[in-house]
Amino acid sequence: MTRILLVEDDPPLRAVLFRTLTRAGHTVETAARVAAAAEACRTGAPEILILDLGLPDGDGLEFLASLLPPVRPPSVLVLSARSQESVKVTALDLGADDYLTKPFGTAELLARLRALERRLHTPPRPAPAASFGEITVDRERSLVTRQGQNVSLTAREYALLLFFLDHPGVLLTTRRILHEVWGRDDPELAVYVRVYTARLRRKLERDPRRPRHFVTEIGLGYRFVSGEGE
Amino acid sequence: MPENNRREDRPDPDALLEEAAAEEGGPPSRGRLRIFFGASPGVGKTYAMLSEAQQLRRKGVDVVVGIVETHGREETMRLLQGLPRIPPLVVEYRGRTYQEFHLAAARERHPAVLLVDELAHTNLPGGVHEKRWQDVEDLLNAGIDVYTTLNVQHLESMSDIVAGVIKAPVRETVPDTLFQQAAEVILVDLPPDDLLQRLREGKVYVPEQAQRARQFFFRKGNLLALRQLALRATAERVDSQMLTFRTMIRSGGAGKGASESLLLCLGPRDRAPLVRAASRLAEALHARWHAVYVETPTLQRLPTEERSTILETLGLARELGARTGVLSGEDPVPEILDYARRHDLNRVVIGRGSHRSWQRWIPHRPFVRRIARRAPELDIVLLASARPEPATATRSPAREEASGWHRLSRRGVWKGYGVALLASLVATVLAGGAVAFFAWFHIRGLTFSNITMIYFFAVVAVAWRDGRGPAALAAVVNVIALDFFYGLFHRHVGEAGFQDVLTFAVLLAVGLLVGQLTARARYQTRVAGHRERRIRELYALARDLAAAVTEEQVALHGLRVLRTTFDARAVVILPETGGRLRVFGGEDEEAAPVELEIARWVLGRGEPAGLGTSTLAGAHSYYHPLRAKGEVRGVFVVQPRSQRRLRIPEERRQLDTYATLMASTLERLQLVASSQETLLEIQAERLRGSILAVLSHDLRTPLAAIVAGAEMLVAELPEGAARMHGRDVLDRAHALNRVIDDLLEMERLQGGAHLRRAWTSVDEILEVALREVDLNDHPLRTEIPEDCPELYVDPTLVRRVFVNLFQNVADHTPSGTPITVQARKREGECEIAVWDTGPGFVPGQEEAIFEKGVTASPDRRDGRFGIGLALSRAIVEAHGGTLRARNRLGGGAEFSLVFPTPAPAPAEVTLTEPSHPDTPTRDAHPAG
Repeated sequence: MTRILLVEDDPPLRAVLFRTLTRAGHTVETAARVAAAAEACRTGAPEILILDLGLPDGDGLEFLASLLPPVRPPSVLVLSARSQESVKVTALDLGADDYLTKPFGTAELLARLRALERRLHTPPRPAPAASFGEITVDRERSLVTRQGQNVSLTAREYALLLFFLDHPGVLLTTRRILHEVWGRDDPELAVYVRVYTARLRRKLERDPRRPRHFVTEIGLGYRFVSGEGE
Repeated sequence: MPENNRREDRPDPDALLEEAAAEEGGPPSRGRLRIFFGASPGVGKTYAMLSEAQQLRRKGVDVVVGIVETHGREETMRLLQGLPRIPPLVVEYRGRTYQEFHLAAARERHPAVLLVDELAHTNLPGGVHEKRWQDVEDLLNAGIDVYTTLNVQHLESMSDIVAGVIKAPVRETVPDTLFQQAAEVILVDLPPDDLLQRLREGKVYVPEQAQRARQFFFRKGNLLALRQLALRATAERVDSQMLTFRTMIRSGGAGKGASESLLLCLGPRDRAPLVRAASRLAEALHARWHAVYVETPTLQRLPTEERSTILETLGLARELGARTGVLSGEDPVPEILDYARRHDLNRVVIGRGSHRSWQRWIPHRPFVRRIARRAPELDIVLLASARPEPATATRSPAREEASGWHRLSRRGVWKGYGVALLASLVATVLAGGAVAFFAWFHIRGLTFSNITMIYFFAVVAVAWRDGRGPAALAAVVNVIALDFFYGLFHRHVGEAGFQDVLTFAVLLAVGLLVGQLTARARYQTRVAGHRERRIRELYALARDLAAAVTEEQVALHGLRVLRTTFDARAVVILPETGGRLRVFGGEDEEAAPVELEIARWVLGRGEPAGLGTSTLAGAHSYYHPLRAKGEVRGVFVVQPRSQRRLRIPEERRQLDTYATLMASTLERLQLVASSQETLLEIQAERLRGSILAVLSHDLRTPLAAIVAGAEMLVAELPEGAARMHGRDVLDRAHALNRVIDDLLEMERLQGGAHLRRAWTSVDEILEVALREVDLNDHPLRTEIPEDCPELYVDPTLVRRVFVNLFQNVADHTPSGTPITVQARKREGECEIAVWDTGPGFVPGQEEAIFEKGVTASPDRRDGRFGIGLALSRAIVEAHGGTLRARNRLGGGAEFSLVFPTPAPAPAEVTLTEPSHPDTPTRDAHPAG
């Protein structure tokens, strides 16, 4: 049960999304224009904002930039017909949490929302143990097992794994991973992220070539999918 | 950007300049250049150079290798051993790295002898100099001896001939001066048969870019011709060396060629032998030389034939390399001295035998002595000149009547004498009237001097109006008339003394003098007037051209000037796109006869041709190129009424000025046109961008509604036909979305959108592509080696390539057909093959499937096939790679992708991440 503000100017799409989201148990408010969306942000205090970029009275990106806390909803999911990576990167830089290109599948949308929701209600301390697929991670003992077998990880690999585990379902840009796991901001070092993610896949995925958990978002970064509930 | 880092060791031009300036304080003596010269690649120049370097090294000389291309030849490489080297400059260019000669480092090192291979080499952009020979000049100026190698085809003066021989253009050339001034040229000669043998044995490196030219280049005929050229060039050099040597001895070693200069003064009787002698002298002295002819009022009265001969003689001087001019003035001496000073010429050459003709200019003063007195700083050279050649043979029988501004027509002269007689008559009538008047009224006081004054006036008037000759006639006639009056006067008026007769003599002298003065004054006026007219015409043309906005206007303004000032028939020819020629003014009466072939020749060569020139002289018109900044932009064709005008240097120069003016206007117009095109392109691009944005939004938003709606239907409808239709809608919507994606990417790519390159692993691209394609039941096998390099590509675009390829295979092979992806690392590139074991392509259609919108075979390929593969190829080619399709030998279709992989791949950097030691997680000890 999450308060969602849906900003979309195309009436049929708005209608079908409204229906889908309410069925999934969310409280949905809709807006077709920037002005109405701004108003709804102030009054309705939505928890998740679903924002279309091409709006009749303004650009969604500009609107996003203008939203400042406390008016700004805690989570923002951008929906757009623009598929260029540059637009996606800009949206993410402006604080969007995720990005979906039209057309998109309903299941995909709901999964993304779930990820955002989970983050809204994250317990202050992560669960001592987590598992996905064949893998179990015991944080207390820093132990990673695969079907009961120990998996050897380097310190850096383990740190990266924990970072993924803490952000399930969320798009993590290469830059953010580099910043939070390595403490570096030099985009030239993106290769570290690629190489270490590939190592995690080799050690933890059943088919490293077709990963199910450490998924590449081409040109953007990675997404960790735990595989539960999807 | 990685490029920036690698460019750091590029020489700083400012630092080099400073260095050069510092050296100017105490200039070191110039280094000596030794050229190892050969007829073609592979004769062993580099080998010879290195052998000599090794010898020097053994003698203890400081020999250093600047750059040497071994081309992988073992013998050459062995010779490199033990020689210190200057580290090469690593330059990255278009994604590849090259090793270039490091000029700054070489200067820094300053060895006694430096080896610099391949003198004709063109440096990569970004270096200090464009060409390697400029680097070498630099080194020589810095006092470093340089050994280098050169092929005959790279000599500038030979490049045309060689291009003709090998049927391929020669792009890299070295100026002849460098070759001529080299301290030593060593010919490395290898008979063609031996060379061919070496070639067959694979000992000769053939540059890759010349692969195609190889079979043409290394043919025995070519090699023989090249060898001959090389021998000749060397022999000629030896010749001119001898000449220089002799000159140095003759002038006591002081003469330095470059500063020598000659001015040949041609007299009206001087002919070709004198010009040739002067040319030889100039050559011997290595001097630049000029040849002038001074046209004085006297000389302009020479018969037309003789004047034409003079101009022909001047023409010969021009052909022999002199700058020529026709000066006009009443006295040649100051004109010549003025010319010599203006052009900084230090020697005056005069034909000895022609002194008599010079005397015609100023009768009583020896010409040579006058020059010597007025310009003591000039050397005067008297050349034994020749008797006049029998000139009849070369004369064209139908020589036209002289025209132009110097002309004084015969009819005008006779008219002058008539006027003189008339003036005498009038004077006599007046004098008679005066005498009669005084006699009739018995008035006293009329003296004979008064009568004389009347005649005096008549003579001066005639002299002023018609010049010296008529004045002399008037004077004579008047003296006779006066004589008659003397008698008359004596009888009727009174005493007249003999002293009055003296007055007659004075009368004659004054008449002649005034006549002379007026004639000169009038001549100068006419010359000045003509000059003024030329300048006015030029000014008018410049003004008109400045206002011209079309090529047609330029052509028409040019035509007008040519026709009016040159009194000629003319047309202007401009090349159009597609190699056609457009003729302006070809239809009207004043059109010159044109042969388009000659016009094409002139356009191609940029040299005048046709009538009055040495090229295609049989033509009816003169063809002059319109050239500015070395580029020929058109031709004008002129047929003057008098051929002679084409030979007068001033007139030629005037034509040249017009041509340059027109050419630069044409250039300006073309620049304007191209800048407008660019502007249009920019606007079109913007429009395209906004159309793309609108399209993608307006297509994808409804599609999103369709997908979401269909999914809901599928989810809510009970199992059955309706639900199946819902699924179909979904499938088709997704297919439609892929088409939209393809179209948009295609448009973006064709609009020249930038690639957003990033290092990406093949694995990740495949992973993402596979997520987007429904491979149905096609099992996928990937063979990607561990050391497969990362690609530096736009990952989203390359992902589309694989999406399309996989989709293509999935759509057109029976279900269950396995798909294989194989990556292979190769030198500088990465090949990725996607193949199946299905039915394969329709034979012969492997290329056609990449055409936009083409459906190769209706039974195998559906409509969306065309755009997808066309886009894939466009994407791969935008990355500098290739995408091909073929049928596999064992059956099945194969797509082969090749991407260039720029070295070094950054993955190598990562494996040595030092910052954090690997501390394994607990319970996870040495597992691997």
